[in-house]
Amino acid sequence: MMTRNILRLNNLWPFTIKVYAFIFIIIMSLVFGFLGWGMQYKLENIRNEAHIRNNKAALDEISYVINHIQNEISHIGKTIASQDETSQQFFNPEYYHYWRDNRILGTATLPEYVQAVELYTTQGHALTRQTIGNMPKRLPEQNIRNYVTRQAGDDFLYIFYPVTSPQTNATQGYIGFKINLLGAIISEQRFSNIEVNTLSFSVGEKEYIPLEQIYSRMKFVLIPNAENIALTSSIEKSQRQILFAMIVLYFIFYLMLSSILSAPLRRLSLHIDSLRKGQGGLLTKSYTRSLPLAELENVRNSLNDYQTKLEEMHLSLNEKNNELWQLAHHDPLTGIYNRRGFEEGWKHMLSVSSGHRLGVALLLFDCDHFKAINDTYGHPVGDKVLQVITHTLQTTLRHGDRLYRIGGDEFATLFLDVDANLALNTAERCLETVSQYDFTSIGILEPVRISAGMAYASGTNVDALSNLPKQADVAMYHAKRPGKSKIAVFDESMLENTDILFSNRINSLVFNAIENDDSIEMHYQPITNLGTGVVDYYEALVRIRDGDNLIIPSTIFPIIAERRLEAEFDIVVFGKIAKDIEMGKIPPGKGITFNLSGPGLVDPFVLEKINSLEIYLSKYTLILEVTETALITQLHLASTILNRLRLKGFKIALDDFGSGYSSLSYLANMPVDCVKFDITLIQQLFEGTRQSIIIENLASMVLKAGYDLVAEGVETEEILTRIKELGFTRGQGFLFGRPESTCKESADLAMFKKK
Amino acid sequence: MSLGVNRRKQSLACEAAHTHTMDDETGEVAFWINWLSSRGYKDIVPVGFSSTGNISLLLYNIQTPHPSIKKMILTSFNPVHINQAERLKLQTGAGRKSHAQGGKIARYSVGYCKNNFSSTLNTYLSYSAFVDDKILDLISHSTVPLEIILGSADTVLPVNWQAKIIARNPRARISVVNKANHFFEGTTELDLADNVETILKTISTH
Repeated sequence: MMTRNILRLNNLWPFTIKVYAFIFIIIMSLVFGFLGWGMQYKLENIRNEAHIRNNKAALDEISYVINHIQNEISHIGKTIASQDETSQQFFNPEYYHYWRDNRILGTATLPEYVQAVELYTTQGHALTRQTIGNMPKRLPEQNIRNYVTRQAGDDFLYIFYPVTSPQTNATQGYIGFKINLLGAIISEQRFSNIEVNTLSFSVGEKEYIPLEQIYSRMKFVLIPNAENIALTSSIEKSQRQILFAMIVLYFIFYLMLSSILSAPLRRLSLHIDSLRKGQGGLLTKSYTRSLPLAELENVRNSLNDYQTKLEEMHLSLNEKNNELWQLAHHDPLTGIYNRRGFEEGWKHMLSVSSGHRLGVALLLFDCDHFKAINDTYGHPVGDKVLQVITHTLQTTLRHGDRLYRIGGDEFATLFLDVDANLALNTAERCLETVSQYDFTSIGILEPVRISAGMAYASGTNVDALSNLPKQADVAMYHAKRPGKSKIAVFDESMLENTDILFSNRINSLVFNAIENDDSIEMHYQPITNLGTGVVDYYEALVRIRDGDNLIIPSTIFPIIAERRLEAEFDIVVFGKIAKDIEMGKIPPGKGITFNLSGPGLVDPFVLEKINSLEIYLSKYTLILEVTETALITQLHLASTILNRLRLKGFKIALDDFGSGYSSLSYLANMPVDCVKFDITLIQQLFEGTRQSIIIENLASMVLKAGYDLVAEGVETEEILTRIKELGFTRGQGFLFGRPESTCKESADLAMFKKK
Repeated sequence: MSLGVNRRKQSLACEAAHTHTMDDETGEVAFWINWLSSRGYKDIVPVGFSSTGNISLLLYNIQTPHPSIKKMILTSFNPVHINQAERLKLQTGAGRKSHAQGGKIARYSVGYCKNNFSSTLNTYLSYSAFVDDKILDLISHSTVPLEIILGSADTVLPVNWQAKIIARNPRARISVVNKANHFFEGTTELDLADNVETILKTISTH
């Protein structure tokens, strides 16, 4: 119960001003009540004291009257006793009745309350047998000379005095008076303390009460003390007035508290609550109504000032938020939306299109060989390239289409409610526009191209919609592949080759291999001299060990390319080759060919690593294989670098010739020592078509130009025979030997056996 | 005079019960003259006052003359004022009978006591009998010289009263105290005393 009360009290806490006012009024009422009770108690004491005092005064008053009556009767008695006529009655009572009735009672000398007078002898006998007024025939006992008794309902006082002789001073007899006591008291005094009409004596008939004891038999009602009544009335009136004044004051106090403090505070509180519930939007109106209390007015002014400051701060915060949002969602270099902006835009797109018959297309753009451009021309130029691409794409896209920079040189845009063809056309137009831009204006001599990967889905296909980013990535991967179209639209078949790209395990292994080359193993495939059948070179081919399995380049390099790790991977591979050389795994005097990636070709760290291999040139012929794509992309720079390497003693081989542009004009300008025909060209030799003739003549031209010519994909003796006829210098393929962890001699072929 | 009151030392009010008679007064005068005489006084001058006092002296002197009485001084000598009609009525048998029954006290008019002289009928009749002529007779029959002292301001004296006295007793000497009233109040009391002393000094000269 107590706990419940405490909880209830806690619910009320803190108290409102009204509760405090109520408590104050209750306390004041209790104080007033206590004071009033105290005053009443004092008043009652005063009344009691006054009553006692008045009662005493009343008794004194009665006592005075009775004494006065006694004195008066005593005086009368003495006067009568001193008269010769009275003395004469004791000598000769013949005319006693005349004397009593005419000379005493008949004269006006006696008070009216004296009802009877009689004389008695010294023996106490009445002078007459015919006493009047029930005067006794004999005097009462000596010790009861004055007494009160009741007769016929009235109280009478009997008083007896001795009558002395004037000459001898001896007692001659007695004189007795019968007095109507109540009449005497009433007639003798105007009482100020007693309601005289209420005065009575509780004396029985035939009961004789000595006069001195009569006071105990008196009953009377006191006259209400006028002063007490006035005082009481005045105090009670004052109490009523104070009570009324306090009620009025309480009411005024409550009204004042309510109107001056509580209501303004409540309004302030509501105003503050309104501010608090504004949920970011401040009230447009400040609290303008003035308040009746200076302190509250200060609070109101402070609140308004605070509100103004808050509004200013809010505006400032909004600006900052906008700025921050802009910074957070925009790319500072290009001014377009960044990856965060893309993610929000993508979520918005999902929310808008999911479940609707709306076509959604996601286009990814990627600048080809951007890292090489960056490394070659420097970051400022790279930044300008990005700005140019951004500007170009923006001007090409429809008004309202958002362009996002989601990576270093990666851009994206989303099309809602479009069909796939329109999206594809837009992508083609973008590529075309970029390709037509004159990048020499920013100092870049090579053509700058972008690739595009597109994925398309309908909003009704929620799963496909959510996979669009991955699909667009896959499409971009395909678009980036050498010899492919620069635009790729995702289809399911792409996943077969690219699943590995998105295998977390493979990715992890590749990254680990770059960090630590322990898992890297170099396998060497012989490149055989077609004239002698002897291995001239070994092509170093990289493998990554995964337990008992080996991960081959076709799995490794898409990841390397996607992650732009070509240069780093080149350095690791070259380091591994150097270790193999040091370990003697490669027979001295043989040549070693190894692949140099496009980005690695222009990477200073890679070149530094290549230069570190220079020490082996005395024992080994070191041949760098570069693809024509890598060369063409940055022909000028690549040529410069390769020439320097050639001067140091390195040989350059053009790898996979025929899988890309295979431009003869480029070939003529390429600083290479050797051309390796791609397996596709070799295979086409046997198709008997125009292509085989071209290839045959191409081989002839290359040879005539002074290049060594190497055929890849020599897997049969038929091919071997054919390429020998065509004058190929060397051959590489399973016929001669597969890539092995150790350098092995070429297969012992009959064709090369000495006859 | 005791007026019937034992050891009387106060004047007796008109309303007090008067039970004494003129005879009782004459007897009391005789008692005191005899008492003086028995004590060896040879020259006795009784002094009377007012009507009943002077009448009781005159009546005693006429009824039982005493040789030691050389003179009598009568002060404020005047007749007794009586309602004659009342006296005459009470003297008849019927009135007398009703008032005298049981010694009853009744109210009469005697002297100053107008209708309030409370007395028995005998008392009233003993005093009311002394009308003016009867008093003047007592003057004329006096056996001793009479010295009469009157107040010039005494209003109760009848008209020509001194002349009537002298006419009935030419030897009577009348002295008038100037400005004295009936009771010789004030300084006239001294004049009265001087007059009495003067009269008493004349005794040896007689």
